[in-house]
Amino acid sequence: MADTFETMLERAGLSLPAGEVERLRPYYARYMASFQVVYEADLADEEVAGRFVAAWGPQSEARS
Amino acid sequence: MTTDGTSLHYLTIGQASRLIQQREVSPVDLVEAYLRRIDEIDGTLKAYVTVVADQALADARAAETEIAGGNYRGPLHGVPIGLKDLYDTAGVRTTGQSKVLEHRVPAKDATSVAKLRGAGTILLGKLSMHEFALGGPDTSLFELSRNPWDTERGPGGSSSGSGTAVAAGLCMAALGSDTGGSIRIPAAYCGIVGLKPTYGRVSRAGVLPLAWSLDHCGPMTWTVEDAALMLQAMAGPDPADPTAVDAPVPDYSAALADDVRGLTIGVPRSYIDDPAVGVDPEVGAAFDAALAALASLGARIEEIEVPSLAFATEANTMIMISEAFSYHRANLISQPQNYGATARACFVLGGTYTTGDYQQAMRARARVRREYAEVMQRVDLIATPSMATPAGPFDYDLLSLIGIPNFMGPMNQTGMPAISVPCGFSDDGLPIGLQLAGRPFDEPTVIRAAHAYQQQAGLLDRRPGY
Repeated sequence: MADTFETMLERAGLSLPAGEVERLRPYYARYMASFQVVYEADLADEEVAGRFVAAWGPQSEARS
Repeated sequence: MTTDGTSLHYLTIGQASRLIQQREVSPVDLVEAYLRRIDEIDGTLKAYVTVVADQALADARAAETEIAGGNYRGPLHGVPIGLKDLYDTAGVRTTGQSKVLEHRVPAKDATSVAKLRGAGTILLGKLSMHEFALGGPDTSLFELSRNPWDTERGPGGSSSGSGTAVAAGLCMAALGSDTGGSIRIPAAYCGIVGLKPTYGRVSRAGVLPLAWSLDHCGPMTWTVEDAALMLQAMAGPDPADPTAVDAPVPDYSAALADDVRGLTIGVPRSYIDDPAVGVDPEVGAAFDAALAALASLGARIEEIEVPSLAFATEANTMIMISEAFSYHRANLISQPQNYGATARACFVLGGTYTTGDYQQAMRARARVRREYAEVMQRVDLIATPSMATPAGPFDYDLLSLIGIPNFMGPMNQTGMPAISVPCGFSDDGLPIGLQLAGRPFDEPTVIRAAHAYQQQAGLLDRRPGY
């Protein structure tokens, strides 16, 4: 887990002082453990896809 | 003081608007009363991070002149409000309570702020909050507000100052934002009403984001009636926010006239009673009493099952801090020292998720949405306690709360409208909240039931000892 945490931080472009890495390491472990329930859920028929409205176009997507 | 003995700072919008329209109270009287109140007690409660006293008085005088000239705009005209310090305000510093944005002064108002100004509200100032709507008490800029019922307790967050200010009579209404409960949590802990509208009902433009797909903007008030009046002014489409839906905006105050007869209220009893959720016995008793009251008013109570509640909180956290990391990454790299320890930790942890983690959480969210859509075919509302416990100590470790299930996050994932309304007090005198959630864009039914309950509950005159 230790190596994984530091690898993930590096991958994210984050460079933390060693003390902070050690402070956060137990929280990282706890986060990863708590999210197992999301992976263990049977979500076989669920998908993530965009939805488009009938009037879709630059207007519906724009930010002024 | 009004003729019936009510302190001006404890008037509701409903009461004040009638007095203003009849010219028995002027907006200047109200603003002066609130500024005095802020001067007297906010040194202890710390609800405000910025007070715009001169501008508020100038705006109040202008409103007084306008109303005297026969140009009364409506029930929010002359009403003094506060804003969580993540709503952009033209010419007034908006920081997200972070050193990262310490000197940021927006050029224009957030859409919802502009709408409230158009309705005649008067800005008193900006309110304390958890840093960037997620951190704990260790913000990098300003102090976090205190709970006016017990200053050693936390006010809840992230719209902390909004909860403190409304409860303590430091403004007549406030705005909060809600990504995983941040309107409803401080509403419950501070004993006020917090309304998270449907996702897309109120524009998010000009509001600092926490997680784009979960963020909601809404009012925090003393009464449900006041929340309806505030929502009326805020709701509607916005070219600056493509997620703000162009759907008709109903007359929310009209819903106040209806009772709850004929409504079916679903209760996820097995989830509420799950030891992992940890509902405090006093909270459980207050919740059961609230259900009994709603039943006595004519609602039908029905138990429901939502199996995805087993993983909904975790999915919400994954989505929330993943999106938050995406927004904060550049500043986490260039100026990490300007974040408070808790906010930085949360955002950093968000950076350790993979895209696979995020997609799995979004698939879980799809399941949550589907199950709620099915349940809402059978019931009109879902009732739960707002929070499992009353307010805890002021100092706490947010990170230690990871993975503890709650009643809030699912409503952010589904976008369903949800309100927290006071339903009792603990033996220690701390408020307890009832959450009612409805179908998307059916705020009228949420408002209708919450108002009927609040009128029956008899808690409106109980204020903190400030």
